[in-house]
Amino acid sequence: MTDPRRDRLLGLALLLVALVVVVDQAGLILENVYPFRLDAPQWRFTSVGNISLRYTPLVFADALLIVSAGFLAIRWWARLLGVVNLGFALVFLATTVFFALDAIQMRRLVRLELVQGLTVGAGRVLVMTAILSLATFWLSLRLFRMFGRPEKETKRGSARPLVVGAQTGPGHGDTG
Amino acid sequence: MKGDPTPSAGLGFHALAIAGGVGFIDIIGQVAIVPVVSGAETAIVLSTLAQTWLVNTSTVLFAGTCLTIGLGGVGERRGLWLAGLLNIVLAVVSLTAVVLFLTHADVGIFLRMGSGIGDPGGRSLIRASTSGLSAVAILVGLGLWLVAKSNAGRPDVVG
Repeated sequence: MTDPRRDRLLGLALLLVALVVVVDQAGLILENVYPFRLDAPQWRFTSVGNISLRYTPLVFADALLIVSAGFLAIRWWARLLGVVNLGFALVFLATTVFFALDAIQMRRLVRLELVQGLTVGAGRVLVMTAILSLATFWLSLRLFRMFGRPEKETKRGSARPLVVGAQTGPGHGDTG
Repeated sequence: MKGDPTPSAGLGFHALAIAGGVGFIDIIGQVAIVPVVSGAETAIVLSTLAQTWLVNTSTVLFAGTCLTIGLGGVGERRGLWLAGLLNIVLAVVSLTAVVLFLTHADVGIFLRMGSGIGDPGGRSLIRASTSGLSAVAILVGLGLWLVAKSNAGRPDVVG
């Protein structure tokens, strides 16, 4: 037996913890990437590398948010999480592509002895970003499927009746 | 949705299992690049590997716990068994990291030179070793629990 009041309290507690984690990690990310220099490939490369170190706590926060949505039983909140997850899936996908291009560019800019380290480090970030893209996409699909618009009841008489047996008469039978 | 908590709870468990899996991949990736970036000398590579692992003890524990709750909640026997095995492997790796840290890391060298445990090196040594050994204990516990849970649902063979 589940106690709705206990579920709500638990969901609220998980939600607060997740929000603290998100704010904390967002602050750390901002600290590392500010000021923004989107036109500089070095900045882009380093920023994505720094952000990738925050992936695990952010996924943890995402999981907590999803669990909290289950406990709170608020449909719009769960659907909002689905939209956010889908948005992140697209962002991660774009990041994977652009980071790969930046990594290729960076290989030409660094000293020869640093190329191997850069390649392996970039590979780690690429794998992580690609995995997160897939994971957030899958979670968004599951959220939409589970908490999507409830199926409307079929209106009485609107469904076409099931036809049993063959109809006979003009246009339905053999003409030959 | 109200009155039907099971599917949403299932999704929560899946999300936790995913978070745990991502955590493991993250830490394995961080450790895997150490030999490449820290040079060719074996002692330095080993000490850096151990330090990287122990610095990330909280991530290891977080990943292990998330995977345990996630797969424990989903309740598939093969998943439980694999997660249990993974936790035990991680415990062995953590124990190895502590031993490597004590035998190869710079703070270990400082201690052996007789600088005592009151210095920052000694505190660092104690902190890393304690958290590493705590991780070993927790991971072994989680691992054994998962393996036991995976075996518990197995039907007895009769005849």
